[in-house]
Amino acid sequence: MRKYSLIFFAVFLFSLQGVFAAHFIVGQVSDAVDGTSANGHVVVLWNPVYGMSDNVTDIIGTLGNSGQNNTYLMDCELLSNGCSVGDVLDVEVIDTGDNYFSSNVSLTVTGAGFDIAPNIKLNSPPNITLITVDDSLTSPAHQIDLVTASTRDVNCTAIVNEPDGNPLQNISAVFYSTNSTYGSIDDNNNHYTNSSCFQNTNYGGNPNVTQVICGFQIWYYADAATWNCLMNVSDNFTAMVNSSNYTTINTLLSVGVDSPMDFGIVNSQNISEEVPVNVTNYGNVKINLSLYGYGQTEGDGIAMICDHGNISIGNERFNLTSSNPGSLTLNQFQSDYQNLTDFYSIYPFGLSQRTDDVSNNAVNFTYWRVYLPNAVAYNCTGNVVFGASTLQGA
Amino acid sequence: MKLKMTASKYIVLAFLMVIILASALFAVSAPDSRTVNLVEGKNTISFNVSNPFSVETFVKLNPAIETVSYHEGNETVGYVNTFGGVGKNFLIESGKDYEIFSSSNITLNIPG
Repeated sequence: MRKYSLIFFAVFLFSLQGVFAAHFIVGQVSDAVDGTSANGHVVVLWNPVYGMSDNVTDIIGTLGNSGQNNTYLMDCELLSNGCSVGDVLDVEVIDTGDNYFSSNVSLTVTGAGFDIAPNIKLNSPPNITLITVDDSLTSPAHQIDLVTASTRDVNCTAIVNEPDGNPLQNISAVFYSTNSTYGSIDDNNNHYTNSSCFQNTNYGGNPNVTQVICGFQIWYYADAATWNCLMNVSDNFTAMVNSSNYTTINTLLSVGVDSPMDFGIVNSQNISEEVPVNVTNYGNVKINLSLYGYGQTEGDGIAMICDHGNISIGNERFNLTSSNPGSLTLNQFQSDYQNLTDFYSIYPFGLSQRTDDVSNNAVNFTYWRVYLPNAVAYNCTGNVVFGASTLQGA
Repeated sequence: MKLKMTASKYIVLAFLMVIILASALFAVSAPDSRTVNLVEGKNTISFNVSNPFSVETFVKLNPAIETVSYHEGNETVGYVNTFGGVGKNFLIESGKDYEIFSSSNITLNIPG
């Protein structure tokens, strides 16, 4: 038995030296519609039963096995699992970095010397020819002016040419400031994403051209900065392209105040209770406060006009940083509170823009009192004008 | 035990006969002959020619040939008779085994 085994192995090894097998798969690849040549692209052959990891590749054109333009030539016997008559094999052009590839075609291995795969067409990726980003205000162009305590509609609009005429998909746009990055999570201050963009397929009368509009509602506290809109588009072959454009969001100075301030009933020659007044930053930058008051007309030197007599401007006072509750002497009133003026003055307040998307954290208290001099009585009304400023206060 | 040994011998002998018959059937040596017959399907041939000739010329002389190929390392070098001839136009020379696939039984025309 051992003797026969040795003879068997010797003959078997000898036979292997001279025997080989090849079964060629030949196919042709058309250039992309946009004119990009198929030559130089890589085509891959595999058996779906064993998966794409067991594959054979070739370069299309004269640089590959075929030596012919737009043609490839592969030996399916070079697959690790080989190939047999009846096997169904897949072939496709793969993306080697230039975004050009194809869908796969299938062929069945026959008993002939070779098999011809169905023709492949190199897919053209879509092309974003123009992208703009702006709000609905025509002036100033390419600048975005936010809306106090509300949102501004901003559109990122692109013209997309899909040479193959395939439908667009996976459209999205990210609008983000230079204080953020493309991949950051959404944040009303600096990062917005829209994955439900509108497609106008009737744009320009060209069936291959689509206008894509990705809208954003930009909040009043979005960063005053340079912003980038980056749009992604792919065709139904998932060939993805992107393009971007910049715009500027302008500074918005805005302040909101509880109104009216009600000092209640105050007796003559008395100081009112302290009235806290909420001040809200409804803009997108850190603000200081500008304040002034008047009775009936600006600059009249009066804080309130009463049914009997007036309260002069100096008798209405405020503290922008701390509360001093309880009864006060006149001296304490004068030392703990600043007097209002009838011309605007800027005071340090340092109230930053809102940064919390859930609850408004851009709110600070101010504290107010009024002194009623002698011979003033009945109902009193006046005006305090709050303003926002980026200037340093006195 | 004796019966088992005998059966094994028959199996090995049968396998050897199959190998030898297959080699005889598909491997054709063409020393310096100008008339070599190919069967329909796969043929393995080694040539003995003084002047190498191109596979393109060879296939043009024998249109029934579908493919000609040989192995070089782990790769197959092939020429396919379609689309006007696909593949490297290699030289056919002595000392190599070529696999030739023919669409019919033919007598080879060898250039030279």
